[in-house]
Amino acid sequence: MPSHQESRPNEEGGSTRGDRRETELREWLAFRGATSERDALSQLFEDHRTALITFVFRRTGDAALTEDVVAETFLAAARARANLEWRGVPLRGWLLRIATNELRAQQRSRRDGEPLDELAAPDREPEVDVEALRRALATLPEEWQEAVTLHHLDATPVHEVARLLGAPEGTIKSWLSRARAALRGRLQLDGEEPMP
Amino acid sequence: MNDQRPRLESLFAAAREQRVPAGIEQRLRERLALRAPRTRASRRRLVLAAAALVVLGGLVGAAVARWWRVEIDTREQRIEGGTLRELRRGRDGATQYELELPDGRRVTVEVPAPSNGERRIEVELPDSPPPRPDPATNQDPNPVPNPEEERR
Repeated sequence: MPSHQESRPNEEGGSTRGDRRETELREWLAFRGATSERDALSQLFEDHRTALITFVFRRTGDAALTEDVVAETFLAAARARANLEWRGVPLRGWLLRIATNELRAQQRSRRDGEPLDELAAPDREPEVDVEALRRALATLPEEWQEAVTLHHLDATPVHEVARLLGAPEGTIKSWLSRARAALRGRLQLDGEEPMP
Repeated sequence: MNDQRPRLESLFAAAREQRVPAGIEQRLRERLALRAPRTRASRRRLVLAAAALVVLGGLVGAAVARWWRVEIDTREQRIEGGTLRELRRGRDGATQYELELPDGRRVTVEVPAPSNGERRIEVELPDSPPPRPDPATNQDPNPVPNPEEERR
């Protein structure tokens, strides 16, 4: 996670980075200052439900699993609010990270997919569709999964992905490039590249 | 390389086109026991229901007040130009009356239960009401001084 950054004008719009950070900080403070877990949950749900549901569903393609992961993400976030520290990352970025951890835990507990073994089997013609893409994506490092999901599966601009994940844009581009290469390799698509 | 295989970008596009199933949001809201935010339609229904409740309450209140007035009127007795209304009768036999004097003054009187066949009532009258205009001359007994008239 990045440290605090100096405010400087945002060339893409009228607002400044400082304004945006102030807004994000206000959101954190409002969340931390929620008088009850119910209030905190309510705030998270109203502001971030669509983004969270989309983010998890794009990665799973499973409505029931999405529901479980998002519910547990919101509950975990609401319970953890008292110990939060502002680290310059938007609340949504923090929620995405919790969702990623929760998704990993749920997938482990369900043990319903060992896609890597299936896909890597040399004598098997791999199935190349969206499900195969998701299974291949699940084998990548989590930061890559998050970046690919946000950018390629949810059409989030790179600078916004960088803001949400708290990493420089160059790093995000690098993750995306390496993730694409890895996916091509997993799925045996054109321009096959080795895993990083 | 198999040319029939979709390219990675087309797989990304196919994933983007998959719609998030409807109902997840509502189930989550129920699961987290969160109340749905009020929509404009639900707010309008709420206002209409509240207005209907107020109107209904008013109608019921008016009916009760009318019934109460009738009840009181049946207990009225005229005494020496004044009016004595029975307000309440207790279980111990004591009765509360409201005495309205001819000049408009009112006083509430608590009459205890009869003892040895005798009822003694002591009434402390309120202060006299402000003087009314003389009906004959229609002049205020305590007129406010008018400087212009005094000059004339």
